[in-house]
Amino acid sequence: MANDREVLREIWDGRVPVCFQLDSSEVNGLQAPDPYYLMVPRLSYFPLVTDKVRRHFQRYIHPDKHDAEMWVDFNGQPLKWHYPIGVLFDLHIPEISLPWCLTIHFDKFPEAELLHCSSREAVESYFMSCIKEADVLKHRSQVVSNMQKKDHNQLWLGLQNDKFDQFWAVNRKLMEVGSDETFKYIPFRLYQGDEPFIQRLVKPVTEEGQRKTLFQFLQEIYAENASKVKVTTHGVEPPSDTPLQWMSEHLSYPDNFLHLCVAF
Amino acid sequence: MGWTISWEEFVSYTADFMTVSEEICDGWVWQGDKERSGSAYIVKKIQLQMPADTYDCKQETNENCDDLSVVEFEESHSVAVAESADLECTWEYHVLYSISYATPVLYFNAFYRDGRLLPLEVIWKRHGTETEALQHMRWEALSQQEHPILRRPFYQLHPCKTAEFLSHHLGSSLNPVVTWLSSIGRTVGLHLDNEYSKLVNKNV
Repeated sequence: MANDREVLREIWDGRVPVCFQLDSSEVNGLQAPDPYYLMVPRLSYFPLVTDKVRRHFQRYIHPDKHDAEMWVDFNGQPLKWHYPIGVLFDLHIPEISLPWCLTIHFDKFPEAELLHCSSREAVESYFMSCIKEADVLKHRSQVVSNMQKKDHNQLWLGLQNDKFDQFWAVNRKLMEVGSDETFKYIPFRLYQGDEPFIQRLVKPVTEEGQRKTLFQFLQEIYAENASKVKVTTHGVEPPSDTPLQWMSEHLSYPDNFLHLCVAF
Repeated sequence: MGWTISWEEFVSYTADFMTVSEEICDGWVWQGDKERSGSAYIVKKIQLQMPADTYDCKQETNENCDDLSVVEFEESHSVAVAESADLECTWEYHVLYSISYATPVLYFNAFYRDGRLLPLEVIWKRHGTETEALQHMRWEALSQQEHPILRRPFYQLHPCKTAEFLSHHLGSSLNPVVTWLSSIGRTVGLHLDNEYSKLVNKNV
């Protein structure tokens, strides 16, 4: 059970300072807009937190582009909005000095790289598909399947409106463990630069029934290179003896996945 | 929960599928690394005629759309008026294995001739989730996702009901990949040749 409420709250309240700037080639007129500064939740998604940003810059672009799909890049690299903001930040930590300077675009949407996001429904759809996938791994889908639609809605609304208690009232069910006190498999994604993320079936206990540590988990993935691996999540490096099951209960993102950024 | 298959089973069933594909020159090919769990998949590309009204003018000025219509008309050498000409689009289908769901998953993309993606609205329309009653379900049935191997946007038919679907065929199908693909593929323009049915039926 996700019992350590202080940790859950700290994770929930994580923020990243961002400076949004409009692509200079898209400024329509003589006056360039001021940058827009915002503290954004690590656990959220860019489309959910950029309504005000959009309205701020919309006035400075060509009227024909007012309804165009907005997208964000960092140092020329389009940011995948379907990754939680904290994951995108962790992936770029070596290159970032605060505030995180991001460029806003309304033109030339790079559809070969980014999922389209025509509405918040696209974010909700993606988020819920991750929740379902995580529960398939943890509980063979039994918890999500037995939930009512209003519970799904509450997870989404809690995330969208940044309401910890609303979200965790439902999410605690997704963090339930049975008599064996562990999930069946741990939902995780390991990110390493531009390579495909690593996602495998990993049990939270060893064959002898001992709880796996983060280090043992990394040994499963990286074998003899495990000791060279530096893991960052939520901007911190968990100690290598942290139990994997505990991490899954307390350090997962709202989509119920551990998103781990790896460097050597 | 339903009928799930291991990665090894997926490779085996799909290899049988590929044997038939080669026999009838159906054009499927393996991609990726079969030695790594979940890292290989099969691909097929086809050209499909789409109604002209599916052309997405949102990202082009009217002028450009008119120009393209003229080009279409000239290339087709057709006496029909430009407005009724069909558009030829490339559809690319990928059958992957989902490690999490332990089932096959269909990813696909569809491109206009100029390389732009067909929009999700057009895909839904073809899929049949455009009807009023299914509006609320369309996001749960079909949406854009990141291709787990290529890391590019692809449309995905959501796999969360696949195991349940397959469980209905547990006693009657010898190849769940063929059973599944022949059922769901047709909703997104993919129709399997009858020759594949010999992999499924126990009688043959």
